[in-house]
Amino acid sequence: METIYRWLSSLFGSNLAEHLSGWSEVTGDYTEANLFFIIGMSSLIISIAACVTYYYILNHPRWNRGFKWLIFLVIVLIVNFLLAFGICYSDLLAGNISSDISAISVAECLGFGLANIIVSIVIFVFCSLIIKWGSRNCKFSPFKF
Amino acid sequence: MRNILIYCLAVLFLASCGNSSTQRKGGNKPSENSEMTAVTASKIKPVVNVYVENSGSMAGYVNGNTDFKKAVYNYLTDIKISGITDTLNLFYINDKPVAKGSDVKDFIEKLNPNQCVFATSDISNVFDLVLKRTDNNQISVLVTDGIFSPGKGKDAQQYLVNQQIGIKRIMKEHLDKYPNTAVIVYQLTSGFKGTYYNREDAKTEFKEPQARPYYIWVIGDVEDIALLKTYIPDSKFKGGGVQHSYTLLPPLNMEIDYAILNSPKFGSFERDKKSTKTSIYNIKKASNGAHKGNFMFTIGMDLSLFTVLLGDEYLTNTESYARLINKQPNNDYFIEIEHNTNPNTNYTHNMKLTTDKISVGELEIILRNQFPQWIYDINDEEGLDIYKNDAINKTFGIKYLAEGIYEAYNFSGNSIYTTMKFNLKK
Repeated sequence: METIYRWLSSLFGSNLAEHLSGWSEVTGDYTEANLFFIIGMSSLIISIAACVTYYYILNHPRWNRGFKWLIFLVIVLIVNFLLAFGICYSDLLAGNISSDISAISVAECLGFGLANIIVSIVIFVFCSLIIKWGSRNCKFSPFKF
Repeated sequence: MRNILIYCLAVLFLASCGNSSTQRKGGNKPSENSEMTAVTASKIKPVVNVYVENSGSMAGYVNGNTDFKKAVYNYLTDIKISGITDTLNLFYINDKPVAKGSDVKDFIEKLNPNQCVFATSDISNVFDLVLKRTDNNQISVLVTDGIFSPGKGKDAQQYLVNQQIGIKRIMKEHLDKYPNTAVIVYQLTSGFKGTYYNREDAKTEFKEPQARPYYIWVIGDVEDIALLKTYIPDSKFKGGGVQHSYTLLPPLNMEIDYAILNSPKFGSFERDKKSTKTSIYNIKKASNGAHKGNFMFTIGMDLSLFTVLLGDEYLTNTESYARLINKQPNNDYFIEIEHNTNPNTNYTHNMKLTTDKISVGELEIILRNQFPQWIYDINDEEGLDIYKNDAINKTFGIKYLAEGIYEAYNFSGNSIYTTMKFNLKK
């Protein structure tokens, strides 16, 4: 999970990446909670849950158009953006970032939120492509407009 | 709020995955490298033998209540009350040691120009006498002005070189016998009132006290020396205090705690998760700002034991460290050393490494035995006119004495105190 986010580290910088990896100045190692993993797994679960809801729980002919699928995607992206940004920003405000990690700003937190949006798009699209075939009413979404 | 959020999320995916998300290789807190635990006491308390050179050139230092007397009295008292030793013997020394009992107060009170009876001093011979009376359970303290006396009509340069060779031979023989021997030289200053003898034994009279350098050499087993330095750091010296000091240690190659820090830095890097403290990759120079085009990273080092043994002046001198990349000397990284002021870490010093040319590979930073510049600075090469070239603040030939000992230590080529290894990858 961390590796995927590291590919996008130009959006949020190496300093925030250190914090998200769980860096602790006191131990000089990554001994704090790995927020990449926590946020990544949460985003994955939220995205899969939204997919399952769309294709199997909602599963209604009125919702089988692509733009309806897009509404679900946008909701997932908003939730996952707020999740990623919220955790980073609350750490920043609370001073939970190790003091030897310098120069982390709101811009970097927003950047990580954006990175999580990209990751979430990929998860949601892949998940849709995999599970849509089992849906009775939405199996052609999102390619049916 | 943040904790609640994380807790909820953790419960959410832990319930789903049934696995911990935060398992990581546990980091070790930097080891408590306590000075006192590292500096272990010897099982048997060493005997301390103190030798005060009593050549005529020393008379000016003991004329009245001088800083020399205050410093020596205080140092010997500190040794006695520290509990390092149960036996402290006092001697005058020139062509042979003369026992003067063990009462420090009485010894200092009787120390006056009349005791300094010898016209010249053969420093090489004095060292020979002292070293022959020093084993691994004895500490020798030699107090001397360190001035060589070639005498009139002698080739001074040849004399000094011969003395240096003699001292090197004597010291090497001693090190072969007692390889754990350490040597400290303290340079102090005292008012000097009386007769100064130049290299040809021509006299210059100082009617008023004039500040002149003198030296206290301490020789003994490294454990005893470490203990001595722990109890009596340079800052405890009285009588004007220690101006400079230099410690020669046997090759220790000790392991210390060190790590690459996150800041300060210019540019960026990522840590290798298999070796988070010492291995970095994806190294990039700063792409903007005042440091554009440069890469800098910082190493935290716990040098607490070396601070005791070598002193802070030595540790903050960049010349004390050699840099190798892939086993080859490499000065691509410019280094600066400062004290660590971050209370969250146990490191005593930080080393900043800056470069505009990123060299990758195995970087080794070696704390080594390095001859100090202050000895060159205080060396009077001529030994003739005391008023010329600031000779009054210098000592004729002191560098030959110190170099003789330094060369004996470095004879086998091993002068490494500690090595720090890092892996820098593209």
